[in-house]
Amino acid sequence: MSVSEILSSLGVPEGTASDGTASDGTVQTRINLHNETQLKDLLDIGLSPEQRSQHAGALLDGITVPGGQPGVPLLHRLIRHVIGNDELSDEDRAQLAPALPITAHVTTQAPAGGPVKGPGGGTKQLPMQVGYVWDVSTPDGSLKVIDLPNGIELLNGGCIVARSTPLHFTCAFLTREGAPPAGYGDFNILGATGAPVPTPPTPPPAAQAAAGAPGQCSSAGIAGEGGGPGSPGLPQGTAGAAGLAGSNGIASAIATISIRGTLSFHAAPKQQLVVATQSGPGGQGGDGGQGGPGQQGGNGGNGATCDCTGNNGGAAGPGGKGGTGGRAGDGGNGTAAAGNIAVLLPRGTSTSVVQAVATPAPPGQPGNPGPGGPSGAAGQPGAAGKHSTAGATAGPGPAGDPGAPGNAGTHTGAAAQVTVTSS
Amino acid sequence: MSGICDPVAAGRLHLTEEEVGAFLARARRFGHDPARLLAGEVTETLTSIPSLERARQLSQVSPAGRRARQAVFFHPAIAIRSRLGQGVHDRCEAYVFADGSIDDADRDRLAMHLPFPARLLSVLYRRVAAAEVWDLTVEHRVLGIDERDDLFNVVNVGELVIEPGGRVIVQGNLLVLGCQHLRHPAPAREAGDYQLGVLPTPRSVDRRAGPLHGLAGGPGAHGGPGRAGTRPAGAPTMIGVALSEPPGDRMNGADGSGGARGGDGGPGRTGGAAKTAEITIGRLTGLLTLVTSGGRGGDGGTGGDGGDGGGGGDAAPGFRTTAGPVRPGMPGRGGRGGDGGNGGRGGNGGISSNVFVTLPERMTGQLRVVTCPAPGGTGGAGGRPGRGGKGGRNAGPAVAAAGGAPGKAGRDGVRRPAPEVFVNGKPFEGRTASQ
Repeated sequence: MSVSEILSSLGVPEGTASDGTASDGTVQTRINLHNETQLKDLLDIGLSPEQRSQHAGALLDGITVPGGQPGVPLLHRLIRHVIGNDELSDEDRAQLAPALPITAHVTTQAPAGGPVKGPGGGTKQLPMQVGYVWDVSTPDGSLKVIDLPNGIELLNGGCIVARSTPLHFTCAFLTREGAPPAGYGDFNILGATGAPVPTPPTPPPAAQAAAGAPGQCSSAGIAGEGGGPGSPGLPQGTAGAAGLAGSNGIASAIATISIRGTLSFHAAPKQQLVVATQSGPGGQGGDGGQGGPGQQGGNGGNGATCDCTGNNGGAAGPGGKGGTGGRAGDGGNGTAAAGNIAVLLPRGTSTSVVQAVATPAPPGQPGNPGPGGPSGAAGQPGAAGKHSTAGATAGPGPAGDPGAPGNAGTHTGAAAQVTVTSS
Repeated sequence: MSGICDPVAAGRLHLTEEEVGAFLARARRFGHDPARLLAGEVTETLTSIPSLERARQLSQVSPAGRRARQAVFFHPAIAIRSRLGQGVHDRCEAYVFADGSIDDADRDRLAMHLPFPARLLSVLYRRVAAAEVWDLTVEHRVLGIDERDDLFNVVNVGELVIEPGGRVIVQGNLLVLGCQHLRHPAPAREAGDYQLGVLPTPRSVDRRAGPLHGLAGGPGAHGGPGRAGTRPAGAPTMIGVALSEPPGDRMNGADGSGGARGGDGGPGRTGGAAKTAEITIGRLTGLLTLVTSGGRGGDGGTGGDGGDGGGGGDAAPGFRTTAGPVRPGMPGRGGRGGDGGNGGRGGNGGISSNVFVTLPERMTGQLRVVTCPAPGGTGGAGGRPGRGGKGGRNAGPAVAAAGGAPGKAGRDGVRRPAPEVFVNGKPFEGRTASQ
């Protein structure tokens, strides 16, 4: 049963789509699968029971169950059911029930695409042509199914990227012309780098240090004590908050790449289909927060004017030192692949035509230490009373010291295995 | 002593021999050379007066006139400040300009002002042209004294002609103006016009420093935005994300922080002070209007606007997991807008002292007096409230925060009474008090 037939069985009329029909003749639709059987039917590519079993095994070989994810073994049993031949127990089905309906994003080619004269005088449908980086990732990591019965031509500069998205790709034939963009393979099954983490906010400045006492008049017309000095700013402003640890990478997901008809290369410098994979690198640690501003020195007390005389203003208080910046956040860890990649080639095609480029997911680098807080400004000298002088000025405090450095993440994520079979 | 050459055409003078003699006699007491004055020079001396007794000799009032002034000197507006430092000055001025006595305590407190800075000016003839303002004021910096200190400004004029539209004013000096013949050849009295102005100090002389009007309060800082909600980490699978940790509160947007309150407006300063003045006119030709007033208080500064509240953080959208759908987070609430700062209080009107006018009794009908109370400054308007932050977006009810409260307007300053003007020792009957 083709994907188009399955879509029809799911109630999606032929040649229409909920997400619209693209200009290249593909149909984009999103479907809800209400049970495991519908998922199994959607992913059925006509393999024999033995091939199904091998296929499922290839997708899960060496994949470990990460800590803190007790549901993963159940997911592995689901894969062995929908890809392989295993049966689910009633308990498994009960546990899977909350996840239903399953959302799948489907891209397929409209059967009614423009017919053209084939080399043999018959008619054939136009293949999809990709001369760009075709990112087939789904925004929420849900399943992506691509079925291209008319085939696909990867033109020079074209490639396919699935980032943290389970991919089920089938096509009648694939032609590689030219090469993918630099840094890409033809297929790129990737994870996602850990998301950036926010920088902590800068602590607010402390209220200005206490002002000096104002000058006093002993009695009307008699000057007393002059304005007092402003208090110095605090020795140091509030330290900046430590940077947050970087996010762990998001795993790459399982991927099936099935080419049923022919795999050919034209004007391709490399006569190989490159399948590149890397799970999610650790995210960079967050930057340390900036230290708080140094406290402003207190204002000198104003001198008093006692009718006909007065006294001096108080000296300004010096500003305080800025707060120390926050420690840089440690980098996040790389995350191992959540599933492997199975490449199914046409009968008789050498498996050596596929080159797997698997790169471990590195840990993230630490963030930047938080900068020191700005220096505290000096207070204002106290104003002079009558016949007197204003208070002395003061200087600002020093800027704060930068925060301590962080460490890189500690774990490298294992890349997916790429298994190539030829039926 | 300095002289400014301004030749006088003898034929222009409208002075009798007696008037010239009186002018020259007074000039001699100032140490001014009569010959140079008769030649048309203006003679000015910057000096100091060593004692109150010498200051008393500068006044031209008769013993009877002193007694009459003393009887009215301490009217309620003056008496009320007798316990303040200004009271010492009032009593000393009563001694100088009227018939007051001062005790040792007041003498001791006034001693710091002695010798008293003074400017002595003599001019036989002075014509104030139309639209000209002859400002008699002596700047304090000229005498090297604080602008809050008093100084004597003694002016001796033979003939003073004020053309229609001309004015003679003094601002905040202790004025002793003697004029043998004052002429104002205006055909009719014009409303709102005046020829003599005893005006307040151009700057506030209160205890504070800074501009007359209060400074506006600074605006409050805007609140920061709330952090957006984020999806928890997890591995993508065919049936949704396998979470490695529960969603918790991280899906919710954080609330925006509140805006800060605007700063209060600064208070206005007290208006300038009108000082004691003695104006002696030997002969008045034409009609003369005297205006006197204390200074208007400074306006209070406007309160600073409150800062806007920060926007709430967006909620993370819902998504499907292996355990079922996760609902979207709640958007963060906007931060409350900051309150507006309060307006500054208006400054009080300036204080005023007495103005004594002496002129022949038969000519008092040619004098009009306008005294104006010193209005207080207008209180500053309160700052505008900050706007409440917008709620975060995405699913879930977005809650917009309330705005801040507006700042309160500052109170107006207190109006101070107008100076009292006494003509020949009696309160002027027909004065006009205006705002």
